[in-house]
Amino acid sequence: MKKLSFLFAFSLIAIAAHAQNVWLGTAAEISFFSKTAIENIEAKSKVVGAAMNLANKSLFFKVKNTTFKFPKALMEEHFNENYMESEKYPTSEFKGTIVDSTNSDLTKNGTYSVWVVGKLTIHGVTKDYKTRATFTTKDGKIRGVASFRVRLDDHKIERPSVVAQSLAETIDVSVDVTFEPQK
Amino acid sequence: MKLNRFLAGALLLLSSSPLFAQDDLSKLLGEDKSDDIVSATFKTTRLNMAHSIETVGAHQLDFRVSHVFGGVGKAAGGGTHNLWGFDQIANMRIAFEYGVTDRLTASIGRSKGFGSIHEVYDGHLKYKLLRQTTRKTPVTITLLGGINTTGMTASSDSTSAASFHNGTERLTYISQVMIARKFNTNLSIQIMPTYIHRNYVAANDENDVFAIGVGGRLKFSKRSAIIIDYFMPFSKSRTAAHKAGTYYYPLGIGYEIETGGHVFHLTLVNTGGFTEDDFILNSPTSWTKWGFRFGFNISRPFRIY
Repeated sequence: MKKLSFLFAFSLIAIAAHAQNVWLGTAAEISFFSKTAIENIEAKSKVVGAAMNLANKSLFFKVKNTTFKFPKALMEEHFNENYMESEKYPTSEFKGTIVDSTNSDLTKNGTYSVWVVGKLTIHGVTKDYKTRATFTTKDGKIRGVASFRVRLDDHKIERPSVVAQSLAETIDVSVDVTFEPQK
Repeated sequence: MKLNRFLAGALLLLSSSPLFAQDDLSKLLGEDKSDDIVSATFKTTRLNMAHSIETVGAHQLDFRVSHVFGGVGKAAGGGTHNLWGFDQIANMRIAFEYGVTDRLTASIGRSKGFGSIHEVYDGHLKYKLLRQTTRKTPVTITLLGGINTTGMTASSDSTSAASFHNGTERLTYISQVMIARKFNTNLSIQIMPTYIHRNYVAANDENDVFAIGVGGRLKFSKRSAIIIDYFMPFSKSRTAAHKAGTYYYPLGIGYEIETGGHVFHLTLVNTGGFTEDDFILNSPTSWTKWGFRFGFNISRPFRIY
């Protein structure tokens, strides 16, 4: 019977540990920017799913393509219909890990500059990415910020010649997520 | 004790299962159960002749230019000499259609007019009442209310549709309910019950006409589609005219090209009207006798602020 209660206690600890390791994005924003001489196009989505497991430093982001908001309704339509083909490929996602040589404890207050490596899937095409990211921890919240560049060609997103002057070949993507421990 | 050991094992297994689950963070976020609005049922606010359920985006101004040329076939006045109707432009319209909100469009336009009424000024309000969503709502419903008037000199022939006695008689009202469903990325179908009231009509014509229309869009590449619209009015005089061979139900078949800023429609229609009363009730030539005409629509939206 003693053994049983010990095991029970152990399993409770296991649950507690699990809860501390997993952090979920409570406020997140992914934006991108295309800059050409003719037109600057910016779009933003705040409907982003994000999760982080500090036990193995894994990271996961997922965004629904149709949630990106553009300054013009027509741009949004073109984005979904012609470029992302959102009905065929509804989401874009990133699966990766935080690479940090100093192995710092991200839950402690402070600012950490780390590398994030992983696989980004856009338009059904998965590609390896590596980027610098900054994590800032304050009052039990971790805010992660990163930006990187995505080449449309890499993800087989066609850019017809008629729009070549108003749509950049490479898009700047920014991610800003605030994580809180999973409850 | 054996039971205890079993219980302990089961408990351990249960309690540790979240540890396995956390390896896959993607499962943690849960499935996407949101009910999203379906976009781009049609590419523009129009099919060949008819309105589509689409409205102009908020604060955007859609500048539209439309032309319809003369009949292609000899029997419809076409042939090689006038380049199958090209030299005989039948009607043209210029319009500004403004998106007050994403759902409400207000528009004014001016056309030459195809039937017996010319110098046509048209205005309409269009409201997207219901929007198709990915899960719950199967269709989009848009309401259209239009009013036309004409600046033409009143005819002295008392049997003419243009022998107006006052300003009120120059008015025509159009009400339409459009119901459309985007079945998949490539196929959208629309039906459109339409009610037309003309304050003044020619002798033997009806003031009130109810018509039913169907339309569709079939996309065959990312930027191009085939568009079709067809109307059938329930009107005694039109049924009689159809039997006599002077009226045919209006059918439009067009090719839609989207270039990134402009949307072009290259159309073939057996009428020359741009307003519902004009194209539903004035289509004197038959598709089967080469009685269709070439036309085009250009749509160019600008963002106002």
